[in-house]
Amino acid sequence: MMKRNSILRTLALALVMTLGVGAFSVASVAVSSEAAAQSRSLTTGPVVRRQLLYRSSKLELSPMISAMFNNSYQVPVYAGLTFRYHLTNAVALGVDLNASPVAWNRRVLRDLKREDQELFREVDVANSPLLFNFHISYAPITGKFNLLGNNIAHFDFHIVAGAGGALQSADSSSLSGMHFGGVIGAGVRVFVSDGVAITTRVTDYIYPNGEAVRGVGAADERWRQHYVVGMGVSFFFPKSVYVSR
Amino acid sequence: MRIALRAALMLVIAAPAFLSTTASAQEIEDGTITVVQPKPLLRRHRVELAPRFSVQLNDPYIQQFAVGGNLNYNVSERLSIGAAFDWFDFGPSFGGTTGAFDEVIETTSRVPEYVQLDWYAGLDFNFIPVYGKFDLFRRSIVYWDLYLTIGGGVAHNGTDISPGGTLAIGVHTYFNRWLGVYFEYRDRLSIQELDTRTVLWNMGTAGVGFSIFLPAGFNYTYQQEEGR
Repeated sequence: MMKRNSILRTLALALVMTLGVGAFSVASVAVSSEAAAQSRSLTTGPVVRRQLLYRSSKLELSPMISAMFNNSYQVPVYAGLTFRYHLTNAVALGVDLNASPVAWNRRVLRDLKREDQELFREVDVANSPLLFNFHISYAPITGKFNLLGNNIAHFDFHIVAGAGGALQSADSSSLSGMHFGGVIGAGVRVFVSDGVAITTRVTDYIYPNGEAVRGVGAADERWRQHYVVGMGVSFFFPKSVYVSR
Repeated sequence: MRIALRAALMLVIAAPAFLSTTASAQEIEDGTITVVQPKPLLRRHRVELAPRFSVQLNDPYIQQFAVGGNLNYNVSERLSIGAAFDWFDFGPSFGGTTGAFDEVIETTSRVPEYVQLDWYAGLDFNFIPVYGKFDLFRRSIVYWDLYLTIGGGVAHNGTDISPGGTLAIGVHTYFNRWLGVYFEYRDRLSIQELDTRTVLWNMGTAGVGFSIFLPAGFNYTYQQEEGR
């Protein structure tokens, strides 16, 4: 019964978040179409003319390194790959895949290992070797900046919402398995050329899980937030940039 | 002959005007337009009062909130120096240990080490390496800048005062010539004596606040004509 409720809550949460960003995205497409249809007068035209459309109709491929920070026992480090197709300059659909080859133990686990080997062996801590999500991305903010008075770069700020989950592995069956939930996030891309950007992103995976059990006890499974902070490079294909009217 | 000389003279006089127009057109075609012209807010020789509210993010075992701010003097457009203060102690009903803290005790029979700060006070140096503008929802253009902060100070943890410091990164956006809003991540480092050892303790917070500039107005060196 509890599992059924969890799945329902997960689906509901993912649906709400996806619909929210989806509605936002549709509204944005409508607004941009409306703006394009506007007159070319200075007072009623778009606020930015001849805008460089770094994302429109492009495929984005982003290798990333990231880490999950608010687990109680470990800090897993992930190598990941994000695929996105940008339907417009603002809206994209994407998939995010992350695998964790390594995890650092937090101080409490290191101390336990050093001071009480017997108890350390008794405590089963779950690993999260795989994280994934399907998402809609929306970029409400695009602009350019001046760095130290010399260099000019373009950037965007984007938000992300969707559904995803994690694969947990542990000796205990109550910790192992797939955990599904909702995903929200935000990121910044700084374009270093027409087809390459430096990307930083914070993603919150919200799903029910337990982190550790002692002996043969059952895991305390509850909804938790899992913050994943990452940095990487985005490659856009094709590399050429469209210019708005 | 005279007509030819006059025509040549007029051409020489008019040439720079033609050339400059062509150059301007080329600049625009090349996309090399200055990022922000003019900057809508000048900081030099102005005082900035920056109250803020922050939430601790970096420790799964403890949740704290902070109310505080900075009082900065802007030495130049990029550099400012000022006093910082944050208050963290709002009683057990507003902050304290988390569910993860209790879970760890239940599972491992060990109490995770944590430090609960009461307040932090220090001197901050702020530097603005980046400024620019962005298009919000294709409806408005907003001016922004990014700042980095490094500082030194002291932290009080309920019983002891210990030396510490601050590292922060944040973004300002502005509503007008004297009011802005900022978002930041601020890490307060302090040397703390735990039960078994001395550690460099990090307290990372995400914060939001207002920037109020005094005096409220300023003049550009090259003032634009009204209505331009």
